[in-house]
Amino acid sequence: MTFKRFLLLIAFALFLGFCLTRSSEEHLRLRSLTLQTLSPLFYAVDRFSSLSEKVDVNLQTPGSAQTSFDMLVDENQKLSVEREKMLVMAKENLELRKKLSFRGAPQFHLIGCHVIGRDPVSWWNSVYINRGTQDHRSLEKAIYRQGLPVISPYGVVGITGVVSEKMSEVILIVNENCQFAAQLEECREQGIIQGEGSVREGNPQTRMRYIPKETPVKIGEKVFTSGLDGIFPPGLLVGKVLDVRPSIKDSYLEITIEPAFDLAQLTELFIIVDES
Amino acid sequence: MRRGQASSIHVFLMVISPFAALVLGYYLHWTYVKTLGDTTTTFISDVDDGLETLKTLQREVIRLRKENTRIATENIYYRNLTGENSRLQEMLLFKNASPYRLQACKVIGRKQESWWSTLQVNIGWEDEAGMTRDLPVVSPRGVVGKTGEIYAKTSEVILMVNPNCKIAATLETTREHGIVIGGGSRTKSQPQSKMTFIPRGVELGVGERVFTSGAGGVFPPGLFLGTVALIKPLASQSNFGLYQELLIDPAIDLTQLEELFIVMGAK
Repeated sequence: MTFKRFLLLIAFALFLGFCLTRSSEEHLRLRSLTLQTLSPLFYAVDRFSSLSEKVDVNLQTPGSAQTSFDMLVDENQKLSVEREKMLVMAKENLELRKKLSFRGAPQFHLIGCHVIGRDPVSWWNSVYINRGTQDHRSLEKAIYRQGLPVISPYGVVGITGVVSEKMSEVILIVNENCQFAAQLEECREQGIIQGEGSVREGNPQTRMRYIPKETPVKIGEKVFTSGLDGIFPPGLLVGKVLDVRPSIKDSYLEITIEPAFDLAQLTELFIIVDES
Repeated sequence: MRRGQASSIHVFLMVISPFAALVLGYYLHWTYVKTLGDTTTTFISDVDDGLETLKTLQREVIRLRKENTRIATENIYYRNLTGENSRLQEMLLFKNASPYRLQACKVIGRKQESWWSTLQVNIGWEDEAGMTRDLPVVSPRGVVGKTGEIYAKTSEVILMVNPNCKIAATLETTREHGIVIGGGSRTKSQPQSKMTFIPRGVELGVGERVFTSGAGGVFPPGLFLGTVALIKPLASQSNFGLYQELLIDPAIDLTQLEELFIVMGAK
């Protein structure tokens, strides 16, 4: 080994030692700084991908474009009618809460975002989105942080991880660092969802803990958020039961949950912020 | 006519005739030429408009896709509001009809391994000056438990199935008094309470309703506690057969608590 290589090795070891001995806050700041530095690269890749999407749309014939347009308009009208009903109910619920003198009624607001990249090392663990602390209104900016719930039209996606000025990490529900309270649809038993962290038979999964052994859990039963964790609002679809086994370690069941949708196909996501 | 004069006329005619023909043709075929021109212009304009329409259509398709995704996501979030609405309406009716001053609160947490023991609500001594230990906690469908530790912004609620929660109770039909104590056996996923200190001679029936008696000074009388699930045989009782012991199914599903009332006293 030459002297130059030896010096390089020493420098690398020192850098590694510096990184590993930092406190969790400093570690988070380092990761945020790395994200900030890498953000132009992620944005460039995303712009290229969105270009291919535009080309795909532009290749449509007038007839097929018109059909897609008509279908989307129909869908839009149905969804809007449903939303109007829900908004009326939301207003009514707010009034009821006032009459009941509830403290701090939640006022949730959705921030739309777009997936611009994935973690190349752990593909299933996290994705990166085009939202950071810089892009928001002053109120949203004040509450935009780590640990906010992220959803899609099909259900729960995960929670925000490291946040930088221009982009953020989303820790997916199959990541073992993602934990939240959930409830089984039929037996109404409540437990904690935690990602498995590793990919089994090609599909990433998550598990539900603290469900007593005597609970009659059915295969295929749906799982929703319970809202007891203070992170996710209640009633959002998490997935369905894939497998149930009694645990050999404790008096609970080991329940494997299949996420509600394909986590490889994530594009448009929404971050929930509570403005109350 | 002289020869030179005739040739000049020929030359003049040869020069003039194409122009004359053109002018004539112009007048004669003006309508056709104009129609042809108009058709061509319209065609080009139509193609241009068509392309512009296609572009607008494609832009709209992209915009609508994004908007629909957003509305669909909002709708899955709002879907929970229907259940919330019926719960809140039930609570308001209960509050208006109640002779007590009720403070509404929301469940914000419970320990996963002992969820049937205690839970946390979002009201503390900073929000309500009258918050103290041992205040009754109820829902429109029955008794939930009583307050435990009180913090600035939150409070602990000791559920009625917790062994530390003891409530003076009375049976609906016989009007016999007893004490309902938490910590009964946990069948399936729903824990139970037990009612004890009921004299031996009293006739009891499964399904009979149990209410608070008001004798303990903590819970006001007439709040629904639950129904008799099982009358324990004398041999299996813990009080040497001096009294009868019953298992009580709580009036409400303690796994599904979201909004509750703390009874602050008379109105």
